[in-house]
Amino acid sequence: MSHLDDLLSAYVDGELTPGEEQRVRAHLDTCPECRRELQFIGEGRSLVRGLPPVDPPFGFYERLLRPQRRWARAAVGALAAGAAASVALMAGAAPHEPRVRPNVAQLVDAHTASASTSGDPLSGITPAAVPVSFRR
Amino acid sequence: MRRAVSFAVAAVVLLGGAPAGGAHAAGEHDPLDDARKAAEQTPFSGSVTLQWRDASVLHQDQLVVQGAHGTLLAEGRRSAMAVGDERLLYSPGGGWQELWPSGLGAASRPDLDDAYVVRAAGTATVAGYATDVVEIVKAGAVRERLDLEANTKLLLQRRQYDSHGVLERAFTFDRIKIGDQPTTAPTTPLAPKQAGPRAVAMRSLPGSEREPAQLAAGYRRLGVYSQGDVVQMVYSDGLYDLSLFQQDGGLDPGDLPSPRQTVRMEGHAAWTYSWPGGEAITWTAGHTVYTLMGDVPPDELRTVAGSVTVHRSTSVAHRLRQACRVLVESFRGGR
Repeated sequence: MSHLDDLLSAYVDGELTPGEEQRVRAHLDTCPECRRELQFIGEGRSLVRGLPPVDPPFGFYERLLRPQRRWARAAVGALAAGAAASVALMAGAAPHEPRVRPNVAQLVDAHTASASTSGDPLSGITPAAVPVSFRR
Repeated sequence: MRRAVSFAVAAVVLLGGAPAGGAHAAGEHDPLDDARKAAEQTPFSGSVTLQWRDASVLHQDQLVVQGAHGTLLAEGRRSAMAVGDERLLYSPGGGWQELWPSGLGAASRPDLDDAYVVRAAGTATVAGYATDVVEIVKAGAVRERLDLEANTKLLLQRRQYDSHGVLERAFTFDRIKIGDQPTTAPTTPLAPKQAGPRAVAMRSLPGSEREPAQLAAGYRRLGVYSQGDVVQMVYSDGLYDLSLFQQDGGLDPGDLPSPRQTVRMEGHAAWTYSWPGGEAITWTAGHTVYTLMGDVPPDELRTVAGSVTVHRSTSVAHRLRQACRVLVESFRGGR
């Protein structure tokens, strides 16, 4: 499977079949890019859901129905507001990069174990008996 | 039954480079392959001195080692055990932990003579036993000198040198008794914690992470494994094994453990670590933190690290989102 793309939105909306859902989950387990994308979608949606309802200003509808040249100004204003909202939404959906704190001692143990299976096991596994003293 | 609960790792055979259940691609005259077979078949007990270089300081530690019935046990301040392809570690307070489940098998190494010249270098004596000395040479420099016990081919001494001939690491039996069963034969633990990795099918990885299949100095990828959010890619050139760990995210150098050394790699900061079994180098690039490690000499490790392809996000959507975030944050006062 390549990247999930549109399947992710369908996955968030619960529109996938159980089989598709299972395949998407398996892919997410191994694909950091798609996990990030899923996070963007989730954050974007939360942001939109979190916006308070806004009442139109007093006289808005009356002014809207009045045939005047103000239409043009209103349209420009609406477009500007829309653009600002889009920027805010996109910014909210931008990834918050997770902070990695590499546990070097644990990585050393993992490496020692895997490397000792392919080479000489005696000289390979022996260093694991000496504790690695890397501390934060 | 040795285990109360059987190990049920979700191991998927790696496509195009599958773990081969202990089989080695190395040729019949690979001395390390001979040593592996001898370690699995020969009963022995003794003590080993490990030496390793950290910057200019040569450290050493002594361990008790024994083998019988295909089980190897090394005991120091921790205990490490090899049972077939399974690897276990005992830490005081932590109990036994399974580092490598037998279900994952052993990665199949490239042939040693693809990249090295293997030559006999006479005979010697180690811990009272006659040995055949074998040198492993690359670009005219001896990289390893092995002492194999003359009858069993058990590895009694292994010395690793950097490209300038300086001793980097040594494994030496000070005392050994070969052939007799150890008085207390190593026994495998009943129920270790199952914390080992799982194999990852190559096709489940995104295209950007399928690279690099090869690294500088002839290292070929043997397998991909994952544990939690860490992806481990295993490479070998037939002699040394390397692990490239990838973690998704950013790195604050203050979060790195010590002792560490700061070095420059390709113009960027990187941090190195030494331990009895090898060297490690950690750096960050793109949206990934990389840690490359192995028993390869430090100069070669840095060369190999420099050849790791960095996958920067080129997604237009990603860049647009980042630009919007910068814009909004600038209005908020740069928080």
